[in-house]
Amino acid sequence: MMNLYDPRQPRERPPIQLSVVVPVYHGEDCLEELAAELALVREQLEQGGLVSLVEAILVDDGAVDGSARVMDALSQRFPWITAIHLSRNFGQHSATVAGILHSCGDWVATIDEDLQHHPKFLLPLLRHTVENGFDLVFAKPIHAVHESFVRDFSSKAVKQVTKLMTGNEHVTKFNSFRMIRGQIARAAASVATERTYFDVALTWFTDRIGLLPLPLKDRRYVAQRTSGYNLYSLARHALRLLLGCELKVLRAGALVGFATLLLSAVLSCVVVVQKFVYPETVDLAGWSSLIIAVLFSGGLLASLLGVCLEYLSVLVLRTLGRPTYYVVDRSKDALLCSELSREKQAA
Amino acid sequence: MMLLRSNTAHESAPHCVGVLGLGLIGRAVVESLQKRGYVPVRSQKLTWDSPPRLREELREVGDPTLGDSACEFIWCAGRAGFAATDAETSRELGTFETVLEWAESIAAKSVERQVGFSMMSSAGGLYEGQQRVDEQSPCRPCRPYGRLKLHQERRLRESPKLSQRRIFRPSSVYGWLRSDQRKGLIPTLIHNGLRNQETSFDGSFNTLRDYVWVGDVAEIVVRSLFPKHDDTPTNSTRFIASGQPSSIFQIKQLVEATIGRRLQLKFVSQASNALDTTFSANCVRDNGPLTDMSVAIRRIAADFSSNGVSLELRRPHITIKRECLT
Repeated sequence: MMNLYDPRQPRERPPIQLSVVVPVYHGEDCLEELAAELALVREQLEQGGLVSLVEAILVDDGAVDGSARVMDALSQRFPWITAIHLSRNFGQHSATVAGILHSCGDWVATIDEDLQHHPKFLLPLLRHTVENGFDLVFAKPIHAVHESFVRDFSSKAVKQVTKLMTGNEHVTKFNSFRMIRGQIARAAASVATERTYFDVALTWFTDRIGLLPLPLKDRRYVAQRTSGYNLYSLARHALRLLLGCELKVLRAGALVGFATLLLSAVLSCVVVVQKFVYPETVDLAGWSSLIIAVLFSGGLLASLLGVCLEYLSVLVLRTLGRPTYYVVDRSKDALLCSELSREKQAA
Repeated sequence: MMLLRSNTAHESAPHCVGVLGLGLIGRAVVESLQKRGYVPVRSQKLTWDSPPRLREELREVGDPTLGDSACEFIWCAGRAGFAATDAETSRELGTFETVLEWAESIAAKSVERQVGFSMMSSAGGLYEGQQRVDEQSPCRPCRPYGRLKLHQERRLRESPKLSQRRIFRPSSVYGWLRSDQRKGLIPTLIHNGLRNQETSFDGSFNTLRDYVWVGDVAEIVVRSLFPKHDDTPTNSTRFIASGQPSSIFQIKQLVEATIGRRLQLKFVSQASNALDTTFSANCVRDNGPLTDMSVAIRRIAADFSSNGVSLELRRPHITIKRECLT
């Protein structure tokens, strides 16, 4: 029997709601523990009364083990856990997008299935986000996550190269442990296509992005040296990251082309003046003209190619879902911030 | 009102079904019944905004069931919308009570006769501003419309003469756009988008709602008339929602991608309808898989296309079989 209307009944939910999204691919052994940890955090938050973990959305991304069954059992046991089953393996970003589009929280946290992103860090992450006026905070691993030089170094290297080529300073912050303002998370998830790198999509909606150093460790990789990613999928992941960003290096190439074109025009003026005013200074006829012709044609091609690529970039970004603008409501932050500060002082 | 009858219906299913109100949901219910072999046998125009006149009309209709042992009335009527005033809702409550009394009088004619009554309530009206609503969430209507639905539900539950009392609480229902119906958000967006017209919103970009396709609503309602087990509860209340909240921004993206045009939107700054209302996926699990919103949006857009509006869809059209109403 459903509850009937009782206006005297107080609102049972605090004003700030937190959703947790967990893409699941290989989590049969970890999900029980994860749910227990989330339940613990949920209980603690309920006691505080300020933030409520309203839902944990487990997204079965075509899991290769018995995760789907465990997820269903968990959703039966805990009403705040929702299990979503994707029809096949679409990848971690697509699964995250699917989970976020099912969420309703004021804030959305995304974590991995294997407890490398421990739920106990959710509140510190939220506190850091709100206190600093961020819309998005990534966890920053204090130590090497995989304890593998090649894996950790290549990950950092790809991000650094991408940062250099694109000028997107946030690329190096990207991590799958995120705390995102719910509106922005859902907006970015709405525009994301299968080719969109989700973190890049988030940067289209906000530049209030922060980092919080946390002890993160990929325990499964460290213990078993196995991962859901192989070399090919990592390379594809890196390519998607690169293509999702605006390539500033192309713009630089176009500028060099324009500069070369300009230089060839100036040099041709110099050569013409020299030919007619100071013909005696010309030692070798034809050489200067040849260089100018090469410079002119090269500069012209580079600049035209740059313009074409700029057009292409606009189309690609449009296809990937980059918005013209987005309106956000941060009015609840002040309340949350003051309450969190009060709580901190009391503690 | 439309009366449908089936001679081939399952033993536990009603042989006669009266659909009260042929708006968006009512028509879809009729179509769904027709797919299950019900044939429309009578159509009766009723005066919904005047309970005394309605009472008179229903008295003239008499017993439309022709002595069928099992019949069902499905209330899909209602002109009052979210913005309805107290006066409008009290008039509508009077209409509902008149119809219910009529159904009760038919049920009272014979003890053996099984007369059921299903009503379409409104989850949005009852739980406005609440998030992750489930069976345990208390109803807290914020406006006359929600209070009307609550009163209607109570009135139905307290009706002892009816053998079955089913209450359905659909969330935000969307479907085809017809000139004689209230326009929902999604068809309006498509309609205005195709005509390069501006659409005004009483809400914000981020307002979260749970949208459900009218075909799914009708299917769930009609499916409930065919119980799998004999121990069907006399009173049942059911949410019809997708369990997936969607923001206006998300819908805007979907519609733009489908019709291939940019939408012109205007948000009313003093929004009175901007509260998020969402439903837990766990409480709507029994509804089965529902139509994906992107598919439904393409269906509506394709319907526009077939009705003479120039539209280039990016993907192949989805043909919808719709049987004609008699």
